[in-house]
Amino acid sequence: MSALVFAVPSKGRLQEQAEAYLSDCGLKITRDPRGYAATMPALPDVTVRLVSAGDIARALREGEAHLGITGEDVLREADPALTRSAPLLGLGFGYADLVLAVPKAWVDVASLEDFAEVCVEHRARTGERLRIATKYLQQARRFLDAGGVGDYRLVESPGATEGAPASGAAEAIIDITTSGATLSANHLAPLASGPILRSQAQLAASLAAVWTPDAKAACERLLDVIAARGRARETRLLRMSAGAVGAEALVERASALGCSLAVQPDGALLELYCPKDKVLAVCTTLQALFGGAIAVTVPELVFERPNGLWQSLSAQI
Amino acid sequence: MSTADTIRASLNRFDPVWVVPPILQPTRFYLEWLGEDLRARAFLTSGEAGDELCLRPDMTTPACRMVLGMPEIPPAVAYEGVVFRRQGSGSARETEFVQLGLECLSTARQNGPAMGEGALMAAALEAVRACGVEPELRLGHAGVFDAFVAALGLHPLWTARLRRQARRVGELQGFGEGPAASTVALTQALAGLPREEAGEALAQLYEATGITAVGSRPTAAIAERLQAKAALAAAPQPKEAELSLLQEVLRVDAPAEAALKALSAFAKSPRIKDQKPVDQALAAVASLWNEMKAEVPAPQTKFSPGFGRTVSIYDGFLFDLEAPALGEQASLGGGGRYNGLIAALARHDGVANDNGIKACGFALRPMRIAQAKERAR
Repeated sequence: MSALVFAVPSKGRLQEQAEAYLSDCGLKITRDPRGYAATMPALPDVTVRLVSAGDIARALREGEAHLGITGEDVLREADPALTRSAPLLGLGFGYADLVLAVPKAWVDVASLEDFAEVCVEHRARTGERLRIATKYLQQARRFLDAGGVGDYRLVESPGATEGAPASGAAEAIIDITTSGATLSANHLAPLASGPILRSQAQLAASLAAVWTPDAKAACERLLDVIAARGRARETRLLRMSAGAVGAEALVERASALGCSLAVQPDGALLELYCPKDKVLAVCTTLQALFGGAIAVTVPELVFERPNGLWQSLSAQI
Repeated sequence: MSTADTIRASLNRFDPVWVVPPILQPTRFYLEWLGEDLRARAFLTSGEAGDELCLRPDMTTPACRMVLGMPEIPPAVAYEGVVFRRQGSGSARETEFVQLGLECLSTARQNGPAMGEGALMAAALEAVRACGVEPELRLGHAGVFDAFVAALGLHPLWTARLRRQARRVGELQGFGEGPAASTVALTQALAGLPREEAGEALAQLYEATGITAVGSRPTAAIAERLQAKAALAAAPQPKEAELSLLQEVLRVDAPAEAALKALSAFAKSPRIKDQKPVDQALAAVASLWNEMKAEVPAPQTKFSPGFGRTVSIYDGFLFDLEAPALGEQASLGGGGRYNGLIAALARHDGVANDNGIKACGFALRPMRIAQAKERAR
């Protein structure tokens, strides 16, 4: 039994993207031939468990896994107030919006206030509450209650929710959409006033799991690598020889433009970290100052202390 | 005598019929009446045939149900039993507790006068006092705010919208950001048409733009609401001063006499077009207050038109008896008028409602009252 349990999606697009993301960090996953357990050779203290996205959210809430990768939408559905699990880092894939969608024919409904009035109208006309089909019961209730929508009723719909209005099972739906094409094909449109949640895949931690000292140590190493890779993606390494101008003057100028020292200058050699999008501006400015050559390279990993990711998590567990 | 014994004896002075409702209740009526709040507040389960049931989250509804099924509706019913409430994780509130209460139903056909609202409040107060606890009274009345809104003389759609907003948490709002530009033109185009033609015009628009109408909402209802929106946009909007007057009214929270005085002063504001509904509503509060004082010495009382406005079951006066020493769990019980609930229940259960049934009542919590007595020592 290893120290830290890391739950990773077991199937679908999210699995591919999560594994690609981890590989890119140098944390490649090796699957067991039967497919439900895996290891992470770079970090032997980590047990990788392959689970569906919804089960990952539940495992984090129940403390059965320490870390996981899953959508923010399912994370919030399993733990609406985020008291037992905590999103740590948006991973930049798995984008989807949780929306309230109504028939396109409802041209009178643009805002949630409109929707609330239609609910009242529906109840007055039919004597029944307007039905909303969804599998996101928790978030639907929170959103509608906070928005002052009263006369509605949720109808649980485990799949093919978009079809509910056409089949007569509900009047409106709350569901996930990426392009809106499926909604549109079912003659529905999201409320113009915006989505309930803009979701993406999250690296998330369990606040309910048993965090042994070994688990914490393994987690800190894992988060170190992920943070280092994240920083490396946004950073370029600039190397130059300061020459007659002197390192101090160059560092001062570069710092003002957002650079930082990669290592303490040793003699004339100067190494700086520079934000990716500032490389041109910095090089132009520095070259005008000292006239020498600058080599720009892409770092693989940039480790820095303190690690903000680990700090924010360790304060909560 | 235990606290419960004392309360029981106190309620028996009104000669009620005691009912023992089942703990398991069908959820259907609750869902229609309370909506999704029920799922957050009640423990749900299901029967053999898959019928949805809940552990009763109140006593009033099941007790009234039993009464409605009786051949003769008695003027007073009493009950004693455990109710079950789901609480948020980490909440210190009880998930089960005993309620002892009295409900007074009246119908047009009934012999003799029904018990008055002030007398009912006095009965609740006396039962708590009999246990050796002097509670504070929080009093509210749904009719007061509604009367102030009516008195502004706004377009009926505005009146309805502001009343609805006030029952929800948050501030009252004017028109907000306004309708989307795309619907403005459409709204104006339909505004001039007679009602029956507007639906037809909208259906033609769907055809021209390739919109397939799905779901049960009739096109005529959509057209009608677009016309109503046009009327609302054309009607004078509530002015800042009118909205802030309503906010002021909701904010009143003072000893009963002072609160009524402050509200009477608001009624003389130049914003008030017609003072009569406000005067009537305030007179109703004053009369129930005086009726209570005629029965028992007045406790420390605070009146607020905003009190309990988010509690959806009361549509007239409502009150709560509190022991502030108990902090978050200060409520020892409360009650009020719920004509809307009883009418809906009668409709739902298929009981003829042509006899204009009305109801008010209260429920007390003996365990809290015992705690309050303990704390006072």
